Amino acid sequence: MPGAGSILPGIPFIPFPSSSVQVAAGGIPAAAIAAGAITAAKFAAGAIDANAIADNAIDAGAIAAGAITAAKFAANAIDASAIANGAIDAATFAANAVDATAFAQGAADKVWSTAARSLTDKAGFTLTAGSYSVRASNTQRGTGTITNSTTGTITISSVTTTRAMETYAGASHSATGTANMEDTRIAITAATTITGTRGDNSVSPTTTFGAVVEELF
Amino acid sequence: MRHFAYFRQADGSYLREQLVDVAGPPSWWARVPAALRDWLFTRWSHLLARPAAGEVAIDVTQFDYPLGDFCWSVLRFGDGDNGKPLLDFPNERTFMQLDRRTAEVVGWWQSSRPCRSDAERLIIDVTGTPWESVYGAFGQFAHLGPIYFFLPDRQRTPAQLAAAAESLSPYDLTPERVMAGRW
Repeated sequence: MPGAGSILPGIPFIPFPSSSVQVAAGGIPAAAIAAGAITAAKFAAGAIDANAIADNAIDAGAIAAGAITAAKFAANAIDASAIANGAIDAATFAANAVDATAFAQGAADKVWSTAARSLTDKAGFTLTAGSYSVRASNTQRGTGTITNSTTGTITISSVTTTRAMETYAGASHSATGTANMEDTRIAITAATTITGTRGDNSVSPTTTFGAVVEELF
Repeated sequence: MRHFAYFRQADGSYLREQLVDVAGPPSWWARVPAALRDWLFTRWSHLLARPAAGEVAIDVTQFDYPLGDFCWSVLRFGDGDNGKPLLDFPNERTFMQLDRRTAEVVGWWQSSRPCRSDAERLIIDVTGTPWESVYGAFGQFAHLGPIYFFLPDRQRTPAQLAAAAESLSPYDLTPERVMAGRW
């Protein structure tokens, strides 16, 4: 009689320990795994224990450039609430690890309302917009003249015309030039220009006009 | 493009400005957890500005002012709302404006920021000079020899020239200095 568990006469069966199946390096070539063969649904919850992955088990050098693309993560795939406070240690970022050129102006706009920071960095530091107050940069005033023409201009410090306004504007004419009073207008016509306009230049007297410009932030 | 102004950390005095070109937004920025954005933004802004030791950099992009417009500003620590730093423009300056073709004074302007010359208009900063006293007067700019004079109300006779010269002398507004637009 063959030995129990033997499939060949005279040759005893030596069972493999069921818990020590090993695959040699390169034993399963990636090409042998069909696309989609391994699906998340085939792993029971907790089947892959994060604690079983030794430190440095995944060598960053083994991940080809571009192998992990942002497009493979669904929106909100990384749940912010799952990242404990302090889990990402700022000290683990090397200098320049965050590439400034990867951010755009629009990205900055989204966090302009951040809270003020204390000024403690002794090696030079940066205050982002919104974390400081500003005073007296937005008011300017002056006067211009219109001579032998229907228009005259004043050059001003640059403003954004869509948020700048004249809080006071007026014009005066000499007594003999009262006809020029008709159709007098004063307006911000460009980022650095205020234009005064009068309806008639057929008489010589000069028209003077004044304006106060304010910009709203 | 972002605009940074730099101030001396010791006293808040103005040092310099620069524009920093920035590429488009990264596609993954929207997925960065909110808790990280603050830190990332501060780090990013600091990397962009690269303030030297002893400098404070301020992101002033929101004002849309030209490069150089903060030259007369001062950063006052702790003087702003809720103890924030205050970006102050303490002094207004006075600018006389001349038509380059006719040398006529055609405008006056007061601002805490620079007012710049262009192809048609010569802007002269007369702050602190005798010319500031004739603010608001229009007239002709003319010269006797190397000295330039302002003739209010279009005075043009030799006697008026001499009188104007006497009243405004010894302020020397030489052609080189005027035409360079340095004032």
